[in-house]
Amino acid sequence: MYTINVHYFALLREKSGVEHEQVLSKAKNYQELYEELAKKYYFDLPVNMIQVAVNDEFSNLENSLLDQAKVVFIPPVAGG
Amino acid sequence: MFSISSLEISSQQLHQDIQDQRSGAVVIFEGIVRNHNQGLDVKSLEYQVYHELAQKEGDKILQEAKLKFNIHHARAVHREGHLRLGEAAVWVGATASHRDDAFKATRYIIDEIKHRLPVWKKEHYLKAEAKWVFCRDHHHHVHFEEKDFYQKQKNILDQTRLKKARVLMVGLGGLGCPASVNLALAGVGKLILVDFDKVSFDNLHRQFLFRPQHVGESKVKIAASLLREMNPFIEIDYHESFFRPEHLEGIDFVIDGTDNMKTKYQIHDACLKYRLPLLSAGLFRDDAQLRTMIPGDGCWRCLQDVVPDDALFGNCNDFGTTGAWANTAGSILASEALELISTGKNSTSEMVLHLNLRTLTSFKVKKGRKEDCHYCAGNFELVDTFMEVDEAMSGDILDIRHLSDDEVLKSIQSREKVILCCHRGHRSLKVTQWLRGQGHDHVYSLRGGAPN
Repeated sequence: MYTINVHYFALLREKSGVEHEQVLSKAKNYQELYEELAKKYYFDLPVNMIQVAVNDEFSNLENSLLDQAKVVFIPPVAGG
Repeated sequence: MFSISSLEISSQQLHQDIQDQRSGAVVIFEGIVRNHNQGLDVKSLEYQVYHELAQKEGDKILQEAKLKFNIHHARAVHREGHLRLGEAAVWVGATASHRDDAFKATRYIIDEIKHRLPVWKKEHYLKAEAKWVFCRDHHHHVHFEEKDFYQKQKNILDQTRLKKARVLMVGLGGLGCPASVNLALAGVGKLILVDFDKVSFDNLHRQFLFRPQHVGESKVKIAASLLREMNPFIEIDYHESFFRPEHLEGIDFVIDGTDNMKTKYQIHDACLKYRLPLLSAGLFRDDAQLRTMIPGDGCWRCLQDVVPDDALFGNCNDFGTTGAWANTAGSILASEALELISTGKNSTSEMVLHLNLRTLTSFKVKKGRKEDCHYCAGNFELVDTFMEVDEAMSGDILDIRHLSDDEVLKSIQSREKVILCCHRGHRSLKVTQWLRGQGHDHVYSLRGGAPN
């Protein structure tokens, strides 16, 4: 079980209604973690459009979770 | 009739234009380039005219003269461009039955032209550096030099580098308005604006270059003429169209303030192909994202090789934003661009900035770089992102592996939106390009194909 500090940005923050929260997860990677959260908050953006930052560095959705990590899921920000 | 001319004024021709048999008096005034001004020897002059406004104002002045005085005809021409000593810079003529009205009208017109017309004059001297003079202040000639314009930033920005820079600004919306104003005022030597769009009423609360009377008019046209007026020392040009890779010719830096991912990737890919630095911003309500892409130093596709489908998350038209937020993000975009042009690096060249404009919190994320990214290497074919779709996009899929081109053509005609797919996405793209060339804009190609 990992403890992850999840932050949300833009559309995902709007959908979840929280800026950040602590999450307990057994997910094998960040894609699974996103999918768990997507179920919880009804995120409908496909995972391949999401970027993940782990401890302030862009990471891969296939990477294994790091315990106590700060994780930000970043959707496309396209307005102008 | 008032006009602006870049050619020598032909007094004889103009005289004929206003002459008629009712007129007992013709009064003509010509303003000539003289060889001195305020103790300096002048060798030539250069006029810059703010066209749209000058034309309207000039017409108005002639109309007023006709109402005020009993004249038959009035005509005035103002020169622009480079003028030699002795050349006429302005020509005014009026005809009337009697001399008094003709004299008064001519005097009125030339005085109003000098006072009201948005014309800038650059005087070239024999023994001193050229100076600009704003003609409206002709009673107490305000002289200034280009470097005085940038006086307050001279220890901060490299003005020589800015002057040399040729910058393409794509998107003249909520981000593009503040970005282009700040770039123009800072003295970017050549600024080229790209936007296909026209001003709409719900742009006005945040896109401060536009006024209610501009609704329905081309954004770039209006922006270009305002920016020219704000800084007469730089060159402004525009393309009233969607972004196209050809726009990058002769460009050094690209600024993206567009509002959709397909265009953003289109610009990004073209910048990678032509090895140009790109500064890009996106806005979601109160959240802004800013990134700088230097070719070879990590690109967007290193991390995300899928163009996100705009239909799934929307833009400013869908979720809204405020002028204060958009203008702040656009100004940061300009600041980042000026820093990059001036010093060769900036705060977002290594980190992507995420800024919440309401809570004023931000976080930076270190950019990633995929070792073998063929986009970073510039080793890829430039493809119109509007023709390709990724799996995520819903649509009617047509497998073309066992169909000839003509069979595909027959098959797509009865459908609304159709995505062609083949094994690797190469033939489907070729066929899509062929079909689009014939006007079938509802056809897309599945990127990467579908091996199974």
